[in-house]
Amino acid sequence: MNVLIVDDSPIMRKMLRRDLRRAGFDHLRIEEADDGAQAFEMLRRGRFDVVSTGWNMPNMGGRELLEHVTLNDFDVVAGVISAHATKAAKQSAQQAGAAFFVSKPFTPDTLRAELAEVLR
Amino acid sequence: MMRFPTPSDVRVTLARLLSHEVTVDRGRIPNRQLLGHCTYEVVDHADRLRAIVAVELPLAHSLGAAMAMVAPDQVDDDTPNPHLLECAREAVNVLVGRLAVKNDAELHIDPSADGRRFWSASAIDSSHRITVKGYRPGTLAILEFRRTGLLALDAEPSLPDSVSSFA
Repeated sequence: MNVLIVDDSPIMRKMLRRDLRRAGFDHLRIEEADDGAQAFEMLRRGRFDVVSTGWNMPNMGGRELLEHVTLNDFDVVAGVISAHATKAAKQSAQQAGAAFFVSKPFTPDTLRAELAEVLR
Repeated sequence: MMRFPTPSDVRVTLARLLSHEVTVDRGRIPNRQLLGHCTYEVVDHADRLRAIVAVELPLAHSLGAAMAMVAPDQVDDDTPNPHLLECAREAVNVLVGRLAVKNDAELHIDPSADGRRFWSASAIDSSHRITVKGYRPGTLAILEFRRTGLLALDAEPSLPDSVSSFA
């Protein structure tokens, strides 16, 4: 399964990789993007099954990326992993087509619980 | 009036984030000499300043080192470490996320701003002394931005055009 992790923080991308592995998702082939614009280009060019995006990012934030995914009819399950898990952000993400919204800080247990269906 | 993360909120959030034991005690006024590198402006969806978060350098190094899995004896607090401070900023970002959820407001760190412009030791609303097990402790303090009564450290403040309350 090909997964694209989008977050403007290198350390958070590293932590997410680590915790996905610790959660038992060993079968994932993970690539990274550091903002929505880069992620969009990678989605256009590559084949991904799942994309997980941050919310507040420079050069295209999470909501805009989700909208582009929907607009371009990319065959990918898209969702959000963010510290800014307000009701408004979750609603906005859902309206933009997010299939999941995982709050930071995450742990291997929370990733396993919240992403099991998406990443199986 | 903003609602601030409780000591328990801070402890649980950081412990989960860092995968380290964290203790949080009552804070004090941060040492001004230690604030040069880790003072952040928190803005809302319209880029209006809402709060300032200040972190003493040893604590910022500790947060960053714990995130990056750098051993405590590798941390030199005499010299600001850009990599650790970048990691620490992410830890503060997660705490600002708690602030956002508690106030049901869209808040995030303004990456281009230096919160020292508006820091005022007399206006602190929330302060925690944080210890990540094995690392040096330090103070993290938050103040809610209010248009009046907030003095810039070194220059005349450049105030936003309007500030409205959360309520």
